[in-house]
Amino acid sequence: MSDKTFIKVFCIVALIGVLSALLLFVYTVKLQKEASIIAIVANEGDIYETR
Amino acid sequence: MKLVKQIAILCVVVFCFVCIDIFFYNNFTRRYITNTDENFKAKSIDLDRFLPFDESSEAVVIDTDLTLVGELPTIDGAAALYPIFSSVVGSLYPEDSVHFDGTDFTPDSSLRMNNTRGSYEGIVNGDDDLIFCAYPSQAQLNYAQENGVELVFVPIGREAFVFFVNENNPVDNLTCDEVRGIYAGRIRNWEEVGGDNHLISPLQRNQGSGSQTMMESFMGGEAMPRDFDAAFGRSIAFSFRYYVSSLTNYGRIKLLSIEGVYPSAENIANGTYPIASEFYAVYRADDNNPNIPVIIDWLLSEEGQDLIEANGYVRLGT
Repeated sequence: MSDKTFIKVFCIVALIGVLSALLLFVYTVKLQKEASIIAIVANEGDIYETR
Repeated sequence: MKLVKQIAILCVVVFCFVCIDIFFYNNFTRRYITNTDENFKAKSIDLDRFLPFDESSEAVVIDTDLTLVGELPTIDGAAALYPIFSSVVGSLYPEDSVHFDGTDFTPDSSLRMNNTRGSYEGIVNGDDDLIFCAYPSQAQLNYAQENGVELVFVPIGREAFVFFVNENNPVDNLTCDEVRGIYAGRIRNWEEVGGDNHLISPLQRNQGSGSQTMMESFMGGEAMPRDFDAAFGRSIAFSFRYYVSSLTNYGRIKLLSIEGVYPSAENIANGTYPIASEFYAVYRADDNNPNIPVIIDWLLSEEGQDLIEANGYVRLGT
């Protein structure tokens, strides 16, 4: 793979990575606005258990 | 060799992004996903669970000789008190006064549920005649004053203000000062109050909700900053007892004792639980609907107080 091609592929991969993180962030903010504080505290049990 | 190096670099980049996404999902996204546990969902306050005159309704009906005649007051209120005012309608109103379309009450219904914020707007605007709520926020009082409306507050029962954490949190008790310290940002790690070494994430409700107003009152004017890094921590939240107590039967969350006293109905009634407050029936001073004083008198009577108690709240004067 030429350097030019590699840079192109690298940029595309990085872009997809950034977009996926951004989408996850937007999805999380949307969920946060709709979630009740009771559900948030209850869901935390899963986080405790995976630690 | 060069190709192998290039593929390795790409793999590392992909791996890094996948790790970032997994970390973010596990620590943030997952806690906001709606709980799908059927028992947990079934215990949240759904309108149709306490629908008056419905055969499968859980609303308590009190046998009474009182019959309302003439214009029926439109009743509204906070979600945490919905079982009470639904029971009032079920006990005193004729069946054809409630109209429910399967999702919400229709505008011609005498029973509505627009929560604390909507109810205070409704009573000031004249859409509601009688609402059941905690004491209003300063903004809600100002809103009434700006519109030239005088509100009358009649205490009809008592309810505890509770704090809760996840069931896996080792902390069982906090003092009032510790709670204030947590919400003011002075105490930021659970280790400082006998828990694990995790940041504390103090959750709050939206402005104008009954429990947020109660919390602001409990803080005595001290600010409650919202720190970004607290999102990494383990949560503490607040609510009125009725709203969360039935949920604790299914685990996942637990109520905290305050000053060593658990918020049981008995401890609220005998006054040992330190953060209990009255809740109110509220009406406009200029509302001439003759049934409003009739309903208020009934609520303060033995039958009315039985209704408060039968719904799981604490009657006045016990």
